[in-house]
Amino acid sequence: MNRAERLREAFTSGRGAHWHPTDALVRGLALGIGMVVLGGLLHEVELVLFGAPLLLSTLLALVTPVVGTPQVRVRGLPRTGEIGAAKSVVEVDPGLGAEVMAIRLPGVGEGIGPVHLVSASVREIEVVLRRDAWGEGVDLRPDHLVAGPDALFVHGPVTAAERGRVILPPVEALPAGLLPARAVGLVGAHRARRPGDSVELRDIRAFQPGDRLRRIDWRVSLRASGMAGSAEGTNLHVREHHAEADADVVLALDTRHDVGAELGDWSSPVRATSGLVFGRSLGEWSLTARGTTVRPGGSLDLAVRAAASLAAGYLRQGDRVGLVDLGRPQLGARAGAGRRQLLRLRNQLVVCARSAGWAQRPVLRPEQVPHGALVVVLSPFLDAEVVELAVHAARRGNLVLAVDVLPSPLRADPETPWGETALKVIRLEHDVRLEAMRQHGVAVLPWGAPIAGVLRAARTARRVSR
Amino acid sequence: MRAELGAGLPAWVLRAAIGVVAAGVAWVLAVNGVEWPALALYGALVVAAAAIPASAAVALIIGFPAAAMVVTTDEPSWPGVFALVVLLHLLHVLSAYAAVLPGGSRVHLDALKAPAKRFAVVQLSVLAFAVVVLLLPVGRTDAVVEVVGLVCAVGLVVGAVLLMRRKG
Repeated sequence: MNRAERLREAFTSGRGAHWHPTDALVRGLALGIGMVVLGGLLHEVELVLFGAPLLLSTLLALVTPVVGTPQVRVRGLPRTGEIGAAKSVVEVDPGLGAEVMAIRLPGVGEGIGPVHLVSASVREIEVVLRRDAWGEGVDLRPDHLVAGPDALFVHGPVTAAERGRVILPPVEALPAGLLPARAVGLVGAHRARRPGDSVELRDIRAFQPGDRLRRIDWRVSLRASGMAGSAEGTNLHVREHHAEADADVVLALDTRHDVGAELGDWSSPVRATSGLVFGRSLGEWSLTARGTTVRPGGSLDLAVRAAASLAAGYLRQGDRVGLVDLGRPQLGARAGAGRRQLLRLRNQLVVCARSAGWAQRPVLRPEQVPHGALVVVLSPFLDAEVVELAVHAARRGNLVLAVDVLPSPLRADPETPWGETALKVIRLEHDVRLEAMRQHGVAVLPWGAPIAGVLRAARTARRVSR
Repeated sequence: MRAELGAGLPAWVLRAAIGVVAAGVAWVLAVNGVEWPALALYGALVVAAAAIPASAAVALIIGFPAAAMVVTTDEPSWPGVFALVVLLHLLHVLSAYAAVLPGGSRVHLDALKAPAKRFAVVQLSVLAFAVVVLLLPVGRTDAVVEVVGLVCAVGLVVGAVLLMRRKG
């Protein structure tokens, strides 16, 4: 045993995961024996009577066997879950002779809950786990202490392992008309630009070697031959149809910033040290500077909820949806379709939010975006880099939808005289960035506004500009 | 046995119960002629014991009334003695359970059924013994009984120590 272990042993007095006497046992023995013996010696029968119950209950505790190692197991706790309440069962084996057990279990509110004093005869305890926020979290940590008769001998306290769930971002039902039902040739429409086998006519052209005979349009061919004065097959024409292809949607999540509506909370460490509002770097605006997770109601929370809802909507239409983390490109999810893809995306959104805020510049590589895919950029648009990224994606030929998730309305910092001015500057800069994207053919809208009309307008503008 | 976890009572109820029981003890002491400075000191000890049930103050709030009753009264007032027999034991048990619960805990009354039954059994035994003592004739004790009593006392101590060593 080294010095540290000896010190720990001295401080904890041998407490821990083994049966050991409490102060109450020493008190019961000392007072019980002391009063009984002293009463006998002094011929004071009251003293004997005062000490007798203490002595009797202590002797009962001493002769009652308390053996075995209490075991606590958690059963039925899924790895992932939805916001709200879920049930789980805690199995308890308190050992022989145990009478009561103090165990930490979730109670009425959220979190790992308080310690509950329950009877040791209970073998299974049904607990209700409540979580009102998405993300990773600890639901259960059944720390426990098992006590024998009158709590004169106890086993523990034992700090148990934490058990948690990943609460997936909620899928909000999008209002009617939010998603474009058929954005022709681009999103959710199953007609591609290239020729294929659908029933939709693309073109009628002259026959070429390799064309299938059943595609020959005899009416057009005869008319063309008649006009040319020849019945030979040189004027054969074929009907060409569009191909049917899955549409791709790429959700580009900007995890570099997580800001709330209160400007005063955006970079309080900087304000506390220097009192400056301006001149913040991106790192100071980021989450890593604060060392916190996602801010409820903040821009990242809103972006993740929007991404989950959009993914659900597009996947329901049969489209293929992928995810790109602009802060950490390696955390994305490849495009896919179906219910499993929705689960995969919601899980990945939690992973992205967990490691948010470390990158200075957003990254969206061309190979991350399939040709012709709709790119949905979810960002508060607090810097020019993400605007450049959206514009570059639009220039590569993709239809880009910029969803602004900056909380609205923003509130100035009341603790500084520059609060209102700073708010105006931030608003103006933000508006300029959004307008710049619009002028470059990017569809811009705040989260919650109807998407279909904006996409249609952007597509029309792009055709006109071409 | 499977149980659903209810809300339970807050753990401060146990500490409040220590205060209430100690108030009863103080009232018994006051009725039996204990002076107010001693009662004020007792009140301070009760506050300490309720705040920190795992402290030595609990031993003092149990030992102090016993000593006070012996010192202040020549002839015991039997109703007061019987009341203190119950109350001091209750103080001991309540403090023992309160000491293992951190602040903010919840107490489910089902857990206290077995301790309550044992408390009742111990009290009935002791009160039955007290009734026997009351019925015995008062007089000088024989030397043989004194010696047997001393041997029993020594045996009690040795037995308790041996039991402690076996369990510890």
